[in-house]
Amino acid sequence: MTIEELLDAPCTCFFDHDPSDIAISSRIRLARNLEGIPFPAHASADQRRDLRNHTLEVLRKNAHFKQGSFFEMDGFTDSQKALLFERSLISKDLAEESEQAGLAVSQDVCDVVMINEEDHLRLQVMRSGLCLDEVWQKICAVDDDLEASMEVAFSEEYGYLTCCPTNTGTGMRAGVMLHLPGLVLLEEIRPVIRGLGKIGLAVRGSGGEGSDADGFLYQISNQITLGKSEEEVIQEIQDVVEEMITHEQNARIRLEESKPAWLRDRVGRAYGVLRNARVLNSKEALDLLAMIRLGLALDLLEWEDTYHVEQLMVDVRPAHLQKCANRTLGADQRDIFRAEWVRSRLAELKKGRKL
Amino acid sequence: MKCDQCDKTASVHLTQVLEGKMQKLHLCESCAQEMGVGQGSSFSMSDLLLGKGVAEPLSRSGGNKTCSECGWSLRKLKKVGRLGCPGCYEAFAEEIENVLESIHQSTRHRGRYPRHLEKKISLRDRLETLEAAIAAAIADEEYEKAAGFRDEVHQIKQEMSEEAAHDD
Repeated sequence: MTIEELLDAPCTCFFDHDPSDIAISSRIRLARNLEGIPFPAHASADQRRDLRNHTLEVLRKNAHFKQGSFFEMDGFTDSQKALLFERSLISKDLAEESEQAGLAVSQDVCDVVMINEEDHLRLQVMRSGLCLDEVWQKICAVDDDLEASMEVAFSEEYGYLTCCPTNTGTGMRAGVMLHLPGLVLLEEIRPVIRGLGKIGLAVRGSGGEGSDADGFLYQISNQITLGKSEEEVIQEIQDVVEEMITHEQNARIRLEESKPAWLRDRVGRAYGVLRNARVLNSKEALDLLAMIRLGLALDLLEWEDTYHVEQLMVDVRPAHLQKCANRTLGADQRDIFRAEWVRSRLAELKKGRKL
Repeated sequence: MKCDQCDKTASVHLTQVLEGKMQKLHLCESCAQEMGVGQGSSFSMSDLLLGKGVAEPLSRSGGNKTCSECGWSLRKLKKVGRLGCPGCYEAFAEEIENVLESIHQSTRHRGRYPRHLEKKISLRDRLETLEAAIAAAIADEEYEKAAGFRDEVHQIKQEMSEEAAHDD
């Protein structure tokens, strides 16, 4: 796969195109380091290069990456890296610090290994929907295979040794992305976030650490990596996520029952703005598209499914938008082009709409 | 001797007993001034010495240990909150324990491990369970039961030494 083919590959593990799905995607990543080599930030350029080349060599022979693609990060432009980040295929760190870094991507573009990120290796497996168990099984298999051919830094006391002590132990971060417009509209999201913080789970916006929940997308993940097994942590997240899904479903029912006119007004206005706006920033576009997605989920809107609202929620992000435009756009031009793009895509869908 | 905060020569040397343990601090003139040391103002030495969660007694060798494998220093660890290499976990074991405890409320890994350690770790876990069982049996004055567990412990220890010999 060439860089261009990678960037063109569909985002199947991100959005599954059913507007009523509340759990968007499940993702697990494992931090692993190799014995006897300084962590990337402290390693020499030669050490990093050797480690990258060696790891890519090992992964080429790995069954899970058969027909996969292997890249040196130095070969990507900034906007290409931004695109991979928006698709959650690489971390922000890897997009920003790419010297002698590497990337292995499975054939279905769902499993990746980042090389020379904060840790030597970051394994990541992602699937659409709520399926942490399946993702966990898969990432264990990848991990086992890697361990068979590389000496991983591990202590019987502390577990997997990582560059940052916040990852020591399992080195695992497991997370589920949820679409929660109902809870946001009823202003019930804040107490939920606070409550999750108290039980050691982090709630973040879709872009990861420090990001806003644009489009009412929230990522729930663990913070603790030491003292609990991976299965325990995954079960905790699974339980919490199932509870959140029920909350969101209830919120939607309550909205329908107690505020039907207000709900239709919000969805209708979102549609009206998206159909007529001439300038749209990324946050506004995402928030309005999220209302459209809610409207579709509740059967308030109906149209022929030619261009998915989920795809639009990906398209309107800055790097994806440049790709849609097929040219570099300044910030102002970007907002104008975004409005144009959404307008034309939504227009294709308008047939038979009702509210 | 170098300053604990920068690389200049230290000229101010302080000793303070903190939580019953002796702490030493070596500063150069400018760092000492910056921190208000020696000007009669109050300061918390533990704050000066170490960041949050790293307040621990310094070893007698002084305030800036380094990792023999990669050269990473305790000072850098405190400054950036990251380690230099896997070997740093042993070099700064004392400090790391405190950091891990404050982040995770635990210092003991309970999860997955590399396949080749499977036997060793399952023996270790069994040993720990038995030792706890012995303590409980003794507390309940069930000495026969405790003796039985002790035989098992003996057997496991033997298996462990065989395993270790196999590793070598």
